[in-house]
Amino acid sequence: MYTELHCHSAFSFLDGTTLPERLVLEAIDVGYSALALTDHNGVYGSMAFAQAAKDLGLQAITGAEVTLLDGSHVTLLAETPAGYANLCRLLTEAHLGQEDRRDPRLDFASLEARSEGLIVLSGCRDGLLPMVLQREGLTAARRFAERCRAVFGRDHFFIELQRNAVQGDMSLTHTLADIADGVVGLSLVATGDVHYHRREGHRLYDALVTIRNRTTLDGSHGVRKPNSEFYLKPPVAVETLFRDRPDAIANTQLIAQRCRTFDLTKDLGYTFPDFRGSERQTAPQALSELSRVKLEELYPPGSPYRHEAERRLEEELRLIDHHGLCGFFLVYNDLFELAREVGVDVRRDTRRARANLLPGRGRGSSVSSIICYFLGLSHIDPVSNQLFLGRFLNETLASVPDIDLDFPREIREELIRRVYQRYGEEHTGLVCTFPTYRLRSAVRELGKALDLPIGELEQVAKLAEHRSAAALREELQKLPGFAGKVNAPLWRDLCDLAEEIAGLPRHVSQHVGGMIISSRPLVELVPLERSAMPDRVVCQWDKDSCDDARFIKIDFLALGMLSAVEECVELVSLPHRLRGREGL
Amino acid sequence: MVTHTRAPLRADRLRALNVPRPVAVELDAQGFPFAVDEGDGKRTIDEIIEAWRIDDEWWREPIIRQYVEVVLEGGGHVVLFEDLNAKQWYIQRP
Repeated sequence: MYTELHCHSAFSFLDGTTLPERLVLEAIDVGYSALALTDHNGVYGSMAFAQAAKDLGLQAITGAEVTLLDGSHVTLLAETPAGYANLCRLLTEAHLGQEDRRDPRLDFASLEARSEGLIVLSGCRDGLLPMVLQREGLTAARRFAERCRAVFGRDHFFIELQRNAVQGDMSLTHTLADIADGVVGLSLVATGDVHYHRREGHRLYDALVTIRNRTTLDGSHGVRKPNSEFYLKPPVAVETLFRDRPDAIANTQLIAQRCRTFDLTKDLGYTFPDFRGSERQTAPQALSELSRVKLEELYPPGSPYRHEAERRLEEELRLIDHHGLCGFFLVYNDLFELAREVGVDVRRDTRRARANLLPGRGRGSSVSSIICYFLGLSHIDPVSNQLFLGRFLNETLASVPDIDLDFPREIREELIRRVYQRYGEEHTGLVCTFPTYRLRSAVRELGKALDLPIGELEQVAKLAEHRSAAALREELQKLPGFAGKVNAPLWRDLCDLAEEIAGLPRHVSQHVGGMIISSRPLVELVPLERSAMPDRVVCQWDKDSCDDARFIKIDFLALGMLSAVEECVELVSLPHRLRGREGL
Repeated sequence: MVTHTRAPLRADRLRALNVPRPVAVELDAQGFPFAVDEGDGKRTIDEIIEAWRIDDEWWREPIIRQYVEVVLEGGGHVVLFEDLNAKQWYIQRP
């Protein structure tokens, strides 16, 4: 039976219309038992896809369609955990190796060097082999296929055939099949180049391609796909299309079976880094020792809270050990010590240096923990303030407790840099977020694609910026002068498309403060790419995917008020006669 | 470079080229054209060279067409397309 091995989701950013979870539902509905997700230059949606697939009994195959230096594409599928690690490294190289962070490209030589555990497909119409065929002719394409066979091996390189009822498909697939048949040992594989889950999705897809090319639907004939055939077809429909090449269908099943060796939901192998001093003592011993020193200091014998503090410490140490989190708290302690060093360095030569200010402070449920208090992660005494621990730490904790730390901006900036230095660039990354289409962005971008008057679009865009794009029809009916447009040509399309685009990811952005540190190189667990901010590197997963991957996210948050306090302390400490000059 | 003839441009002299003509098409069991008839007798199709589909202009007057490039018996090389909105077949030169 046919398995789809080339499928894009909305995480191909303006080149796909369907969220991964929806693709899973559709795949099951039309009769697939396995499906590959191969978004452009990333695995942004792969964890969500794998989790949803696992829940519903679909085999999720992890992959990506990677852009090479010459602009051609190649489809990579992770066959083994080592293959997935290579995929992540290759994607990272494609992103970090380019000057323009929005134009990731991979050197073919890098792929040649790091193809272990990957299954390489020759790509779509803009793929590796079709591009050589188009640019240099049949002889060059044959030579290139031979090279690929020699480099990747006959079991790991397949010539991809796509039939989406595009003019020229038939001759291209026949030529590619001739190359495979002529080059001993090369096999064919049929793929669908899916960009939306149902045929109706082609309208939104056309609009997204138009937005990506910053033009209008009328002006985008050359860049849009010519028809609505790029949807997730039922397996039997694809088998009919390739009835002349049953081997290309059989190979999809073969590849899917081989890719069962790797399951993204359980084969990642993430581990949190060890705390400093882990070679000398175990984490429970170290945490207990550290806490007891602070107990003597903060609740000395004779303190009215001594007894309760001792009881509370015992209880917390037991719970933390029970959940295996001693190392986690000790790494936090290391990080806070690092923050202290940063605080000293940042404040050096300022009047604040003498004010003995903390580098930052904890907030939220973690302030109820006496151990957080001892480690400096909180400045609130949980015993004298009778804070309830259960919200932060309890017997039935489902995930790692959240410790939010607030820092003044300049300390946070430097702290992030130091974390990179301490744990290594390959082991550290910021969590990303995916801003989604809301009413304002949907109206502006879709409206321009439909070539609607800019002035009118702005009127509509400004009316309800925080509403879902799906509410556009309702909003238009309330807006004077626009109620009649709801069913007018183009405006009706705008309303329909806005409903479909609501909630789809628009681009990659940076989470407010989440950072991932990994003992194993993070770059083998999730690809990294440059953030819009200089010197920042984000991983390709948002906080939900990081949670699903059981990554431990550390939140370094910038709090403007702490920066203001720092500034105030500085100004207050100025000699009185100088304050006038500072405008105070 | 072609020398300008200095003849005035006349819109009434513009004419469409290769205008599709309606045609009756007989389909086989798999839905592919098997024979065509332009009113001058049925001709069977010897070979289907290529088939493709167009979906466009959905924001205006949707164009949905299924094209088939064929060789007719006797060697005629034509393109057939079905307008899937009107369910009407047309024939034109490739």
